[in-house]
Amino acid sequence: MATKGIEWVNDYHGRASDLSNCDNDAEGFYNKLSGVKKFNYANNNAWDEDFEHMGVGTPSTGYDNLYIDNVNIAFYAGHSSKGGLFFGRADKDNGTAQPSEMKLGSKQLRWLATSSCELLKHDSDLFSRLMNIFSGLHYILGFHTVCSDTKDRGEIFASKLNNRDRVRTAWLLACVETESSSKQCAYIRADNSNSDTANDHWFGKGFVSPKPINPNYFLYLKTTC
Amino acid sequence: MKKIFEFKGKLPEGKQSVSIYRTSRPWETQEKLLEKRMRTLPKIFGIKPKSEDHGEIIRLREKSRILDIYPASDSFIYFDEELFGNEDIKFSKTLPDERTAKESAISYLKNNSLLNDNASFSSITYSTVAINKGTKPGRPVEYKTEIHANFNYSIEKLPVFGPGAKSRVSFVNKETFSNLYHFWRETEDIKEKRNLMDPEFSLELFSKNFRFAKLKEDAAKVVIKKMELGYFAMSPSTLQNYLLPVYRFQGTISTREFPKYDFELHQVAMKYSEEDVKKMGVRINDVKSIIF
Repeated sequence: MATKGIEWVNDYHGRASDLSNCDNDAEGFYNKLSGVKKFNYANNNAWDEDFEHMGVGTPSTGYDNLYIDNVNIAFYAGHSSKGGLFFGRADKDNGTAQPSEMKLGSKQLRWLATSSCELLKHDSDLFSRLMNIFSGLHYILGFHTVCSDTKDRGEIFASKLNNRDRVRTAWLLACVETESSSKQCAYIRADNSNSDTANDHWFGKGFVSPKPINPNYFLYLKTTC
Repeated sequence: MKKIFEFKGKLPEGKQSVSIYRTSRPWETQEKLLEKRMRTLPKIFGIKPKSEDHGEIIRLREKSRILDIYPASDSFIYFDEELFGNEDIKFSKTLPDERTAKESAISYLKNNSLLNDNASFSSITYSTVAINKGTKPGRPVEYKTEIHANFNYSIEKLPVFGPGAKSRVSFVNKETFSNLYHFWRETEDIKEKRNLMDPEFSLELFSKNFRFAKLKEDAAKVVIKKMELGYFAMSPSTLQNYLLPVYRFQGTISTREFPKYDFELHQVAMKYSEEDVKKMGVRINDVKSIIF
């Protein structure tokens, strides 16, 4: 049983500018991708602690075991930066799911897609910032640069996964179709000697790699949209 | 404008009206043109004309080489799935130099009648890869694995913004391209001029958009660095009836909780009626705002 979950934020209550299309973006993904719908948390119900691992980072609260790490693929649409995913309320943990607070893949999650700005910014601290998130997780898909508040990236991504494209190809194609060439999308994937995440497909649509538990190989790619 | 706004750009000058360009045709004509593309494009890329209809795209495949044709626009993308988003750092030694990539791209597009009159070369960019072996994070070393020759589009010297107006040829060595896309809709000048919203009024309207309504004066700053007039082309998988005249705003937003981030937003630039909303798709893509 392949499972999916989404979280999205349009309403930022002044913490940042509001967004307009994150609902369509994430729900397009949710409704299009084959698989079982597990959760759709939005605006005030989307919390940073849903992405965070209990006891990891500061603040140390985290319920990824109940939410993001409890589905095979998760899609986030909202604000973000290299400092993490940014939410509309700060009273659930601190309002930002920082990379140092996430440890994903020990339960169900294989792929985390982020339709949001600069989470995957290429910087000198790229690997030290992001490697610790991988605990069985195969990929984080996102952007090196800012991206548009677009309504259809999620649906296009899901459509390509359904059409048997590899996960990484589906993401790059979805970004090429929805951004101008001034933007750069990116992904980081993990492997170990038993896994082959480069050839990952969505469940039922082709090869799915075994989980890279204790990964010792990380590949980051960024490219023009 | 509210105090949180600072305009550091220059208002677009010199135009009170713009021409309107239709980008859709009667469905019968569109179908005939699609059939023609289904005959000619596979020949160019050496792919057998056997297709699968996936709805938003029609896909033709020859082993790892794929041609996706978009029935909603005049767009297509060709790519080799083994080379597209190339991860193999060995190719960093075989990439053509920037001048060769540009010349080869122009020559290939011209020879195959794929270089539209509205397109012009804009930039060279790269796909890059960084690898970390082992469990301890190191400083990333970047390898170039694909070189892209990018093309932008313009009409009447106005840029066409958006994902539906760009072309690209990408190489992994001098002989092999990893992908080529052509995202564009053929345009027809319907000989109708439409008055533009006054740029100053548009700027004021922009600042009143709901996106900024909750930003607090003592805790937020919006700096608009650039305001440009152009047209907007939507994603190639979307049916778009007309190129929409827009103002593009670029700048930065800072709040106490979320320090400085860039934005790029478009706002419909012409005066429009309720009829235009339906006919021209002014509420672009069914979104809830004339700013997108």
